Amino acid sequence: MNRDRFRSMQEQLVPSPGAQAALKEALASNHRRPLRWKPYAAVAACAALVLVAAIPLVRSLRGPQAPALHSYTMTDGQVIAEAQESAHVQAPAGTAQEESATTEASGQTGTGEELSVQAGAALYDRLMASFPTDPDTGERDFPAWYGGSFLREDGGYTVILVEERDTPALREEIAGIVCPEEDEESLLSFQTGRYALSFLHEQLERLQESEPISSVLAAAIVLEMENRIEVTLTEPSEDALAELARLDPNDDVFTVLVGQRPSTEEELPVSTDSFTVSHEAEPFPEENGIQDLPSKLPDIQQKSGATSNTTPAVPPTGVTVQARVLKVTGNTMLVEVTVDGAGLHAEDQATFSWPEAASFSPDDPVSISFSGDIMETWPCQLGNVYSVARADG
Amino acid sequence: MNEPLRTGGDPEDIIRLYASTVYGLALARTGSAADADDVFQEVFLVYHQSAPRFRDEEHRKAWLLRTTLNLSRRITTSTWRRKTVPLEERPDTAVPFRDPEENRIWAAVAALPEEYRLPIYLFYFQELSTQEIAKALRLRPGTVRMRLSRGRDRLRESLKGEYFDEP
Repeated sequence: MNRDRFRSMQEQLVPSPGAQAALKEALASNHRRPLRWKPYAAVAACAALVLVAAIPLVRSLRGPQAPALHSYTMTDGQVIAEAQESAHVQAPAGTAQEESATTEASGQTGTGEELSVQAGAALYDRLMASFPTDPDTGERDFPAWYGGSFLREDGGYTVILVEERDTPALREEIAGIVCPEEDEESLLSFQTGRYALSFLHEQLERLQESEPISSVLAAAIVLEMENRIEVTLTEPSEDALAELARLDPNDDVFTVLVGQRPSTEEELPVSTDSFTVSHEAEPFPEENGIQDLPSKLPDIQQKSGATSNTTPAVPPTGVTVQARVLKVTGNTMLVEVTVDGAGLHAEDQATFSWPEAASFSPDDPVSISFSGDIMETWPCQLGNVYSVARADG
Repeated sequence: MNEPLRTGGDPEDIIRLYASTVYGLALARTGSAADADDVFQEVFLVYHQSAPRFRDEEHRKAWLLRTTLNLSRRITTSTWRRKTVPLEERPDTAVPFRDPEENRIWAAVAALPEEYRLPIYLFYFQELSTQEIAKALRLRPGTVRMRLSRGRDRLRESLKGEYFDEP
């Protein structure tokens, strides 16, 4: 039998005795250093004691304590922070730390860069394909090291690794997954971030489940490039800010904006300084897929705290996509696209926040007008949603 | 969420269990016994030092295969290597199988272009499924089947026989 012959051959494929001996010797002299936990444990115990002793002391000095409130920014230009620490006055900076000189390369995209955007998107596809998918929900089960990823302006692809899980071996393994061809490795770079994407998604769900927050929640979206969540509230209620502070004690998971959601039916004070992304939707080619996603997320993510002037409002036009409601959870809607368009394909799933989400039910046909921005998550998240209307028929 | 990962297994047992797998793949990839020896050592040193955690044995095997390919690629594509002796001219490429016929089969496999050689090797010698090969080589299963088919055609021509029949 040939199978027996191949097995016989495979059994003969063994490293030389010299290599085996050398490996054994290398392993013997290269024991992994045991974790020296005792000094760390001692320091941690001391720190814990100091904290335990300090908290009542500080409380007694400061008198009766009002609940801590999360910082927030008014989108009409007022920068307000009611967080108790002055460090919270500004919207928290992104926690992702740049590690690649090429990551934020500027410059206009041209034909060559469009090609490399597609190449970068191929890396994204491969990484996503390597994550297991929940057969019931269809949602990807992101590993604890994965902080998100995005396509860069220069066409490359950046993976955000959770700081404490970032190792050379992990990077090597990811490179092996997303770059089967050697010449693709130049497209890949890494950043470290503080939070796993799965944690950010969990936080998103907590927002929607929290009554004080959901009652004033206009929108919430995970900004993968920033490794945080942008939350828009219709008003800065103390209960909501306190709950946000409880969920985000370090004030760096949420960037909280306060202002009304843009709507197509009324003029709104949308600051062009704050929202540099054009409301004129970028046209998408007819046959597009992930390769055709915008190479860069809109600057809205980076300038949330930079509002200054209220400019005459321009009713946003946006793009429209037809879909069917799959699920409504709080203010969040999960829909399935029914007609190709706006950069989405039929049967794609998309999620977004909408204050009147509760008025829709599963299977409702809807027409969604949004800014055209599609975040590269799964399911994808729509950018600014301007209107959601029940579609006829 | 994700299950807790685990390392598990005595290092020596793991080496014993996977030495042939790692070495064979490295040999198929590099075409050199000396390089395969180097890759074999490197893979298990990396394994030992990074202590990766695995969901199950299949995950461990996939990690070892992938790391073997990565380290093999690093060796064969290094600047030093590209400027020195071509693989086929290296004196250590022959593998002394016991049976001359086996040497002939291996020589035919080794002569295949890499895109056919690795799927053929993994399928027939390591008895991986097309799905597993696709995962290890980061290819679509359809691409693997196509490469297996073309690789078989070439082997039939070079060996004048049906050693590599359809599954």
